[in-house]
Amino acid sequence: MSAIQRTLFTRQAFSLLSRPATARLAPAALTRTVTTARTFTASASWRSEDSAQPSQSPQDAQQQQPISASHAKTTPEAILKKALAFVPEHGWTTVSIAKAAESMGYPTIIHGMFPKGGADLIDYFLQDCLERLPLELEGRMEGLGTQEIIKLGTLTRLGMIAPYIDRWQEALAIMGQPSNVAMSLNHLARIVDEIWHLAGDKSADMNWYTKRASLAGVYTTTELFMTTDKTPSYQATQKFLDRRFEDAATVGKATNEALQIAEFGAKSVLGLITSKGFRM
Amino acid sequence: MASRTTLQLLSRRATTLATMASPSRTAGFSTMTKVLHQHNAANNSNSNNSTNTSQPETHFGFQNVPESMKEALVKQVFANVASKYDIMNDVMSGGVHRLWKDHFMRTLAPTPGTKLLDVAGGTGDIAMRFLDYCKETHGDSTAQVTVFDINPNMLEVGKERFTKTPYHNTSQVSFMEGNAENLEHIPDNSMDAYTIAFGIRNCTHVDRVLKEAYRVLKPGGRFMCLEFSKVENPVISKVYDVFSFDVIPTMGQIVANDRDSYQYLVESIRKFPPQKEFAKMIKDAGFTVMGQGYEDLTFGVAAIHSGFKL
Repeated sequence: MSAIQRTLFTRQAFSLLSRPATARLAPAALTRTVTTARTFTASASWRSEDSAQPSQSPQDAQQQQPISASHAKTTPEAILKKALAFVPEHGWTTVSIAKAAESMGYPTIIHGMFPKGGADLIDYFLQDCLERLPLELEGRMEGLGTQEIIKLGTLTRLGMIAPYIDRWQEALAIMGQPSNVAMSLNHLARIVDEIWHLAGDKSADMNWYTKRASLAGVYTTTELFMTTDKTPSYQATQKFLDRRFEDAATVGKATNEALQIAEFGAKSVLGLITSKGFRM
Repeated sequence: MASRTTLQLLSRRATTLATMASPSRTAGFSTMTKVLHQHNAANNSNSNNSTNTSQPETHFGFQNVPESMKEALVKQVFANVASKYDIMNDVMSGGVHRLWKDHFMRTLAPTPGTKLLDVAGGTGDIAMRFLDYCKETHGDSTAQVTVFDINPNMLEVGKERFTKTPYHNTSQVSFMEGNAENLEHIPDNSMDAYTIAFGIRNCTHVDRVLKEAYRVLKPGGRFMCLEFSKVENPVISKVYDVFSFDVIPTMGQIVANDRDSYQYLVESIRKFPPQKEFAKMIKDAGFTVMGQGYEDLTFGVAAIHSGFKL
């Protein structure tokens, strides 16, 4: 099974499995009291900053509110943008869209603009995140190596789902529905491509695929871990991500070793055959 | 004056038809054509007291008629078919029109308290589904529908139908007679949704209908139209042609004893603009459409067009 396939199956399998669980959790989620918003800051050297993290000013916390950096170009986009503010309460649903429309003075029937409901809202959110990523990283990548930029990019991108973390399993369940899988995979591909692009990747060989496939694997597993992470400031997620990057590096090394062993074995067999008197 | 003449002529036509034991496929229309020619001749000879000698023509089925006449002719067709309208719909579509209308309502997905104007909704098919949807999905009894139709016969059928429901004599449903091209009794920006199901192709000026729909809708309101459309698949299109032009008029003859009206219905379907063209007309009227702006039903036999006033 190739790395890409493994990545895809992990994501789909999770999403499908989590759907009934989310459904069961839904009533509880509705009554859940709003906990104080946790912060998620990403920097290249976040590991050493772990101890200094809790000293966040209220202004910084304010900036972590569900916001959308890009300006909405059309009314439908403006409605979806507004709907994101209703997601913590009403989830990735038509209800959030209808509430947003109502708050903007439109009749709720306008929700028909988004026939896929929650999936349309998620689609908009993921697109918005993609556009925000380079803006948020602007000026923060100077002097960083490729590995560090990849880490910073992945963390920054993961940080964007933090405001919706209690609703993110629900989002993953919607993304895993058969009719939405294409949309979800497309977004995943664009996330990892954007991060590698920002890291200055210009590879034009098979490496292009393996790099993206392994980052996609790291990203999806960490995202999944993050939905269960209850630590303040998501330290556990950050450590988890760090271990995944180490794994990814090890996998690369292991592949090389495996190739060497295979080569050695082949040569040995060849030598054995030759020694038995066969002419090659 | 013109419409009065038309009605007289039509009643003459009806008498002529009644005396024919078994009208051939086009007999009714040749009679009607003759009547129309007489009408034109009369107009031409009295040009000094007639203002519309050179008025533009429009289609009525596969024929061209003066614009001022279409309304009366359509009125006559629906007066003829009103009592048998619902049973004929079932016979002609094998019940599929119910699925289309159900899907139409699910697509509209009205929210509690929605105010709907259902134009050309005489027999109440859409209005009933609308109120049922609101009741069953949201337990809502504040949604309101105005059933609007040009034809009093069709409205009578609808009123009769609503008397047997809990909606009878409530503020949830009201009936209004009038022309879709001129909704003068309905104020601007007053409706959440505007629906027209299998009605717009019978209107003389589709652009005026759309313009009026745009006017009465609130900003953010939705226009939705269910209408017969164009079948693109060549194989299915062939089958559909035979069914339309040979089977349906014959069934009209057998079930409703009225071949001409059903001949008109199938012809008018072919004269209505195809999906993309109609979607463009909706855009031209000022509506915002999402994606291609329509959804085909049953290979394009019917289509749902939708637009939002923003």
